[in-house]
Amino acid sequence: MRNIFVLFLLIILIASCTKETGSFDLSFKAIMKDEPLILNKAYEFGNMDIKFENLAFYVSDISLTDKKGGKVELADIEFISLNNFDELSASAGKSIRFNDIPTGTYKKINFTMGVASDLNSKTPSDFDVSDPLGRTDFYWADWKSYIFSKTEGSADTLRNGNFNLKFFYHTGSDELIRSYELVEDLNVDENFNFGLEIFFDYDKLLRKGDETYFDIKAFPRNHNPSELNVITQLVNNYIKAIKFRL
Amino acid sequence: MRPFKLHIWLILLVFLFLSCEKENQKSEDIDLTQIEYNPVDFKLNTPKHFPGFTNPADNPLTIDGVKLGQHLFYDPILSLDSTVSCASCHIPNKAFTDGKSISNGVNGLIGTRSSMSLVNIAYAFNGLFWDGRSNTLEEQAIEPVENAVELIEDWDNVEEKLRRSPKYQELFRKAFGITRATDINRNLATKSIAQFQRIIISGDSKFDRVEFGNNAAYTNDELDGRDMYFDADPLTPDAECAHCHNGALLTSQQYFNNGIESVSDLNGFPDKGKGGVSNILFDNGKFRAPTLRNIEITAPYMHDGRFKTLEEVLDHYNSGGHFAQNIDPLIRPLSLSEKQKANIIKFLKTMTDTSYLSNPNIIDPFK
Repeated sequence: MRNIFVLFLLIILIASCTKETGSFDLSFKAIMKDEPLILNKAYEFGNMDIKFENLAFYVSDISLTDKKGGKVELADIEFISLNNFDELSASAGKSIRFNDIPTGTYKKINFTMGVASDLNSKTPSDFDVSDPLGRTDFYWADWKSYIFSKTEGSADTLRNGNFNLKFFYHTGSDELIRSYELVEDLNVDENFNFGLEIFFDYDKLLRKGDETYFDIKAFPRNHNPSELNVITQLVNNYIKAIKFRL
Repeated sequence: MRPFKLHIWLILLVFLFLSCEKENQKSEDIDLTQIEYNPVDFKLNTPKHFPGFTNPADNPLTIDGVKLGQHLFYDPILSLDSTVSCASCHIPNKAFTDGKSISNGVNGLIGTRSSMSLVNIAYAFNGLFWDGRSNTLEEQAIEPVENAVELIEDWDNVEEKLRRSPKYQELFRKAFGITRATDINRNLATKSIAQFQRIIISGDSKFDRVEFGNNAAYTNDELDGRDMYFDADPLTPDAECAHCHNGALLTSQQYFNNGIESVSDLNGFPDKGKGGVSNILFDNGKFRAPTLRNIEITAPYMHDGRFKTLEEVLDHYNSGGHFAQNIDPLIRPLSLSEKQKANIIKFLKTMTDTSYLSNPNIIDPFK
């Protein structure tokens, strides 16, 4: 009888030591004019029409912080491609599930747009070819930096149906790293998958400081480290272009 | 007399039948356990400046696995009439290409695309072939055998031929520890070919030594070409090469329409490339960016071998190519002078490295 009692206590002890965990879903979605952004679809853009053709970026240092200030690291780096050619996939965006997150209510989520400087000091050769940071198409040796984001497309500047002006804006280098946090109660429960949607509004991303659209005709390309104006504006626009939905 | 003769014939027929049966049994049921099986890891020395690659857990490199793959790669036994091997289209001294615009198969049948280099293929990800239709080397190696314009053979026949061969019985036993000849199959054959392909490493060109080893130097012309290739000097034009051909592997492993085809719309590409696999219209006419390592010895160029020389390639990129809706935004008129184009070619030639030809594990074992 005594042995059974001890065993019972032991089981309770072990059970209480086992921390309950749940999962947390993060969904990244591109929108344009408040609708899911579909690649190769024409959108009004000031006095011209544009089509997006390649939208991808790095997000690093994704973490949750609990009410006591404890941090749960979700990921060091994620490569997000939002290249969706139809309504269904554009609505779904790119989802990542983080498992084994201690259950509870978290007070905020933090992440960095771009490659955090500790990782940005490395090169693709430091990683496996299939690692997100092993991608050489997202590394620019002469910047000594990863390309944090690519926003590429074509413009019909005369609105005559010819999308013959190619544009691309590639961001990169430590000075263009931007960090964000969402202060909100975020519940991780073992019984259901908690999800957070992060929308990237490309209509707001490609605007100048005065809220008018980028002059794609005058500056259709930017990947030059000595000409950072346009891409600095682009990364500064994240604060207006990123929206959250629980 | 007549009935007796018939009797003899009947006996002979039965004897013939039985002897055939016995012969079949002999090829099917051979016990291989007397042959030593002692797998030893193959130590692959990869250049320090290369990224890593993950070898499949179910197909580790072993000395005997690589050896078997090497033999199968060079042996025409995989083809219908024993005239064509993997090496027919992937010739070592051409960086494992074949020097033809479009590769030939059995009976000289013309294929559909140019042979791709296998150098550093261990590092390939994001799809193999020009259109990315295979995910792994093991998966890729299955296809050419039964391709109607390549080896035109049936894997069932190949397996039977290999099972009957005492040499391959031994090689398969040593590579994979099979116990009977009937255990020889296409799965093991392609695994060993993949092992062999993974050891074809090249990382000792002048480009490697200058960029990563700091123990060599470019000539002035090569350096000028390098500056344009990498857009490294604001005083020289940006030749836009490095966007697609970069890193130590000299490829981004992505798919692009580089403007070589004149089409009226995205349905007009004679070879849909990536689009034929993904079924995404916008992928039509996109092809995998090949490595530029050894580009000097892998002519002709492009997926259909349309450019015979590097000069023609440079002329194409300098022109800005043919516009299409999905042309890569970096393909644009470059306004390079003849001297500048020549210097870029000089730089490209620093990427040549055939040191792997001295590796006995890589060259033809039948010679």
